[in-house]
Amino acid sequence: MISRLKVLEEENVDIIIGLPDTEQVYESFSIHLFQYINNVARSTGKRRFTLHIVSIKPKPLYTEELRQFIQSNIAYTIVIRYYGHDLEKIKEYVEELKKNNPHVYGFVYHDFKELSNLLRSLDLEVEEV
Amino acid sequence: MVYEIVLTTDRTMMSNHHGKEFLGFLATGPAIGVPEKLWLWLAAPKMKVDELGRPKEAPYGMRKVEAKLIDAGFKAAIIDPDYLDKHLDTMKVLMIGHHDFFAYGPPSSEWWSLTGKEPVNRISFKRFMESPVVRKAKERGVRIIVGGPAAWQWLWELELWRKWGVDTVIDGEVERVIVDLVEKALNNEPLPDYIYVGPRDSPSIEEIPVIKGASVNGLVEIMRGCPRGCKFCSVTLRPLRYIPLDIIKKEIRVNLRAGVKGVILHSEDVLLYGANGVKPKPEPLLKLHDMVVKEIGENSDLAWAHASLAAIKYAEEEYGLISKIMNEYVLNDHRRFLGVEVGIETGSPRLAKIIMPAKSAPYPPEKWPEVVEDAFRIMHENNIIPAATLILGLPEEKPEDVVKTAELLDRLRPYRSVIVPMFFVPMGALKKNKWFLRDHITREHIEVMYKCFEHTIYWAEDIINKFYLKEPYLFPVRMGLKLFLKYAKRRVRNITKHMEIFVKA
Repeated sequence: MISRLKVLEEENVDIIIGLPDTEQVYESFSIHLFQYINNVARSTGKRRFTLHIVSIKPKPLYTEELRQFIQSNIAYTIVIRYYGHDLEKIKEYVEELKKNNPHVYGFVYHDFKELSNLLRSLDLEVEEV
Repeated sequence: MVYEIVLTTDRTMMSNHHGKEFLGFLATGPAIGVPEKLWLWLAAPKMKVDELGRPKEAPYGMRKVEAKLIDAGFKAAIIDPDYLDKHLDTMKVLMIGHHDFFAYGPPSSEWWSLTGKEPVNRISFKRFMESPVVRKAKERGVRIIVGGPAAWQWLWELELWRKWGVDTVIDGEVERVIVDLVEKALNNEPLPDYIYVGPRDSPSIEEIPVIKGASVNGLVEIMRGCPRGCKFCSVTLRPLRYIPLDIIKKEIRVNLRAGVKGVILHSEDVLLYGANGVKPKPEPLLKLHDMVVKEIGENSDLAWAHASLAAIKYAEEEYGLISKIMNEYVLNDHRRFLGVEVGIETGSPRLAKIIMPAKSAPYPPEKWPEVVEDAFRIMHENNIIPAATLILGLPEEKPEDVVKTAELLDRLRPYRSVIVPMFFVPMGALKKNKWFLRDHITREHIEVMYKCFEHTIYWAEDIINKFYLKEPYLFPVRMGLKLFLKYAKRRVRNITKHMEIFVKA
């Protein structure tokens, strides 16, 4: 059973984020994520986003990849949860998320094919960047 | 009493600064010319606590969180950092708040950039997090949640975040989420790493609790949010809400019952309480001040946290409101002045129009320097002593903008005030911009900083001699401060002989 915050994770959008798998930080990833979130907000009318992070970088070091996105956001409520790199667990979580929320999407770094393929197999719309 | 939820912070925050709020700003600087222990004592002495380590006064934001948790039925309390060990066996959640965890806020980052020395608030906080009791708490599985206006700073200290085992960083107004988050922490559920509470999830007035314990120096909020929309500001992103008078009165009474006699009315712009947009209205302000002075009596201190210069000018010119409030409510034999923070930010109408077009409203941004000067004159004539800030290194700033600021500073010389220049720190709508650091200082910046220094030293000596720290028990603090001012004068005048080393641009 996934733990969800009352209020901040109600009427929200869940996005599975596959981060780049390298030491280097790609600023463009954050920039694209920000644009993507704006687009999703426009199309869904939602203002709350839970980002489910899939990354080999440990917590919270992975947030360096998201820092520019976080700093750019002033409008939306953002909740960031971390799942490591266990794709079996991710599959379970996504199936659980989908039961309760029609707005579940994927936003994945282009090299992270394993995750993109998994999310697509679960019928998620996936944006690759 | 057994507390499963302990709220705390480091000494630079858990202090009433000798009952003088403004002295807390010393904690944003490195210990210059005096030993660190003495500097910390000047800035942030220990406070009285009870047998459980509960301080008589605590930071207001933490009091709000404490109250919310107590109202929800949790055993929660703010505990002085020196007494955490009393609760090590029972605490399950440790909540830490701060205004400036790592000294990245203004003015800490500026003093750090200029001197190359870590400000004492950063040193103190790191020492606190490394302390045996906090380490032991973590080893025992206590969950650590951090928050407050400086929560964003953790994004720049990821290694420390990881090393100290902080479970969740939460940024924003937390009243709608904190009870649920703490409940999940107590139940050992997975917690988010980071939460940003957007403006639409800000609490309503009904969701904001009344504090249960006294706040530092009697600070109570009278409103949240600000309508001016200045791009460098994070507070203006939040919806505007006015706290009803009866709630303000309740909180003042909590403070009075605890023996905290003074009041600091907190708002981003006190004069916009009950306002018509950006135009102050007399009735709500007179009612507010009437209620406050009736509650605190003749022999207690009163201050405003912040006021805008445009509102000061408008209120006085339209209604004579500033002089009315000061003469009929504030000033007496005990209260000989009112302290307030104000923002000058820039002396350039061009730059004002770009980054803060509504800061001068209802006057046009082209009139901004006149608004500033008129407001300073009004404050001087009415024994209001402002601590003013201006921002160097704003995005879009040009050398001619800084020259305009220097010219404005010359015009402000006759008015009793302290003026502190700040280096731009990306916040609010500008938070994705770059920081302004020492490597970007130009000659024009040096000139502005020197003018601020000369102005502040001149008036600080006058203020200390005539108004501030007059109580006999504060004699050592007065002397300490005077010594520091003497030292600072000598040091800065020596440094300005070698200005070139600072000019890299």
